[in-house]
Amino acid sequence: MTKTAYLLVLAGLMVGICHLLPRSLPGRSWTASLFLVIGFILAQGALSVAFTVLGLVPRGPFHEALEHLTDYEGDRPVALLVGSSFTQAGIDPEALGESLGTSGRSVAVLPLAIAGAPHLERLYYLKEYLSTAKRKPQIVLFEVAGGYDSSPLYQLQQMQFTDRMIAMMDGYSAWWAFRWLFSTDAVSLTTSVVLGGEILAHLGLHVGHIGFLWNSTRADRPAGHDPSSSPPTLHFSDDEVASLIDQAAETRDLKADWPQNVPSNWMAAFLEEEMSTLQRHGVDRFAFYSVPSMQGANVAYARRFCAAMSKFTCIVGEDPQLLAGLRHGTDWYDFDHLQGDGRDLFTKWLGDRLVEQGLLP
Amino acid sequence: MNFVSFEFVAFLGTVYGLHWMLPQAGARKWLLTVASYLFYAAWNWRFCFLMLFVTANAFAAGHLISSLPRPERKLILATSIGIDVAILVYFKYYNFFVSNVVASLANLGFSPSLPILNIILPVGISFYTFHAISYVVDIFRGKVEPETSFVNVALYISFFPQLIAGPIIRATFIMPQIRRRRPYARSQQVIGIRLLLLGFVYKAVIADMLAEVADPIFAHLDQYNAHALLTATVAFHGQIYFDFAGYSYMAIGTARLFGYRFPRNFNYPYRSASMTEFWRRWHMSLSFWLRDYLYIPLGGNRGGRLEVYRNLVITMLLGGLWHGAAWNYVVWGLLHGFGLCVNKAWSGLRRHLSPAIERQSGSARVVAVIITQLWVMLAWIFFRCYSVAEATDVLGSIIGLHSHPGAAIIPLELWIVLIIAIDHTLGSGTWRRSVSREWARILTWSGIGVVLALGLAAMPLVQKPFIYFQF
Repeated sequence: MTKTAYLLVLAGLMVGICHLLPRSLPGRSWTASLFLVIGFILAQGALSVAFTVLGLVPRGPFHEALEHLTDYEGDRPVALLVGSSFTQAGIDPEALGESLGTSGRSVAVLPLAIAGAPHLERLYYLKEYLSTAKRKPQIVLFEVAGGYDSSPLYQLQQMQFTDRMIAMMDGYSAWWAFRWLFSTDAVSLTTSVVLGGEILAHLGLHVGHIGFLWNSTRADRPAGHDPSSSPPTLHFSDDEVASLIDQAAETRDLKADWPQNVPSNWMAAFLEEEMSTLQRHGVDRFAFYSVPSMQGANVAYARRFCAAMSKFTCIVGEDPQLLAGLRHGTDWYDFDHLQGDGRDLFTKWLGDRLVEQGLLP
Repeated sequence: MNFVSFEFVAFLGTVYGLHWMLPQAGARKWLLTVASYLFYAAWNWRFCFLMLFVTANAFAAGHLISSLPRPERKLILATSIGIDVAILVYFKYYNFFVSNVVASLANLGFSPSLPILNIILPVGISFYTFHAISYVVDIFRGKVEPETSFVNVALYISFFPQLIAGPIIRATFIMPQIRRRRPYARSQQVIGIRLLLLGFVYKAVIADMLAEVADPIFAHLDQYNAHALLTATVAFHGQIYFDFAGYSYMAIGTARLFGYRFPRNFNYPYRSASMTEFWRRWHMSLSFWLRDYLYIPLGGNRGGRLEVYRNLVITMLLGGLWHGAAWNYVVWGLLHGFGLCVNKAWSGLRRHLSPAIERQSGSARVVAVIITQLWVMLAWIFFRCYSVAEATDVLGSIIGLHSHPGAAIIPLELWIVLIIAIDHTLGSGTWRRSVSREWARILTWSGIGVVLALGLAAMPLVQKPFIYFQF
């Protein structure tokens, strides 16, 4: 409400300018356009300065997560999880930290994982995290998920022109979005043109700060992030789960519209970019993991991904012992998201694997 | 299609470019008519046929009225208006009427089973039926010639800037413009752009910002305390003005881009010192329409004092019902009708007592403005709430008749009043300083750029629909 008061004052200023503008003949079109653009750019510059001085950041789930993550300044080494809702639902960071701690390696596990976050958004906020974190991570664990890796612009289409998608679409994100668009065969020419237009529109809205004053908050404002929040409970029968898990374990094929080379050229280049960004901040330990899924294509993708990334530790959540423990309907929120006991079981299992690999500092 | 949307920007840009590329006036009119139907079809294509039917009815009636002797002309006029009113009543008032009849009969011990229709209200129906009625009545009165070209009438009724929420434009005002070729004038383009910009700031920035204050409170009245209800009421007082005036400026500005002049719809109404003055400044196209096509035919200011009061109350009651088929709109209309009657009585009394006090002093005018605006604000409570019971609860809480525990919010009343004051003072005054022609150009265009940048940054990204789209 305080912000509304400030914005009302700004709106009053705008109305005042509108009313006080002198009545003028149009003059030449190009001079009119030139002055309009100059006025627009000057105001944009002033806004950029104001945002920096006021410390404004986009409001939303990532801001809330960042607020929580960057504040950590304890002594324990930091392990950063970068992922989506699969990680958000399937891994309990506190339990994972404890699990690692019981093995004599006390670690703070921080999840940079938000539901529906495409790779572009993750990298955008990863950079923001690295620039403001009080303690840099010693190791970064990347989630592997076939859907996100194969269709990095899917979420953009699903959440188009939302504050969240606009906030992440800076020039860098747009560049990577176009790189994917030009490298993929999975979308038709018409879809490519539409998507290209949407990328540019999001970029324009981002650069033009459209809606930013309304959808921003001070970076130092408490956000009330609750990393342990989980979705409501849905139930499968145990038989259904057992059958789906068995099917998933046997599946070898990817979805037809996913790239068959894993990781795709785009994904490989993007991962390289992510890792070099982290290396510039002194982070040089990376690993990959996949959260168990009852969808065979996801499991098959993770398997192929780990086979291709042999230089890195890559953990696929399909260990027979683990799957035997996840055969209860109550362990699953849906086909890809764990919950309750399933979440606890996988967290423990993942912790043990990480300890075994000896990756932790 | 919301005026503040990508779709509309693309639509407007395309139609604008095509319009001025076409060399022939006739082709331009066809283009605007087709574009207007496409604009309407973007909401629901099926109702394009209803609008076409209303247009055909007006076109045919216009021809018949001009070619038949007087007694038959009246019959044609009545039939044509009857058809328009029947359409309006069917879509807008049928369910309201039936549910009230059923409720009344139930109170008397009957249990009738009258069907409630599952129909949606066609967007803008109140506006385009009024355009059709205006066309036929003006021909009947000999103020406008019947059109020989169907597309001219179709363009008048469907022209997209005013199709959804007005302004309500008289046939006498616009038909001569439609008939003549509209020349491209750069000075008109500048006016159009400035009006669009002002409308954008009004609607996208201020009205939507105030909606963020008012909407959550009016949606959960029981969760807020009396002061929060007052803040929400003041916020709505500002929101409805900036929303509707913003739409009107954008509509007028858009029409200017195509070379058409629309009449002014708002003239800083919250500086009115009486209800009569308020209705000369608020939604002027509706109030003048109601005056000329309803109040004057009812008898207007002719006859005794009681007859004048009766005419005022009937006119405002129907004006309230025009806004929506619900009792809260009826009460809103009655409150305005009552306000107009009191104003009329007070004016007569002042004239009777002493001609010397007829001229208002500055302080007396300030008091009159405050009283008028408080009455207008009181009436807005009924306009905004979903029922009369809700509105009386809000009103009772605000004036302290009963306690209303609940959450508090930061009071914003002064800020809202401040922004209205800035708008009304700078907008209606002569504050512009004379500058050289060159400086005027620089200041105008760079100022437009600055306001555009600030407005885009400050507006809520998810835009609310215009309030008057529902009418």
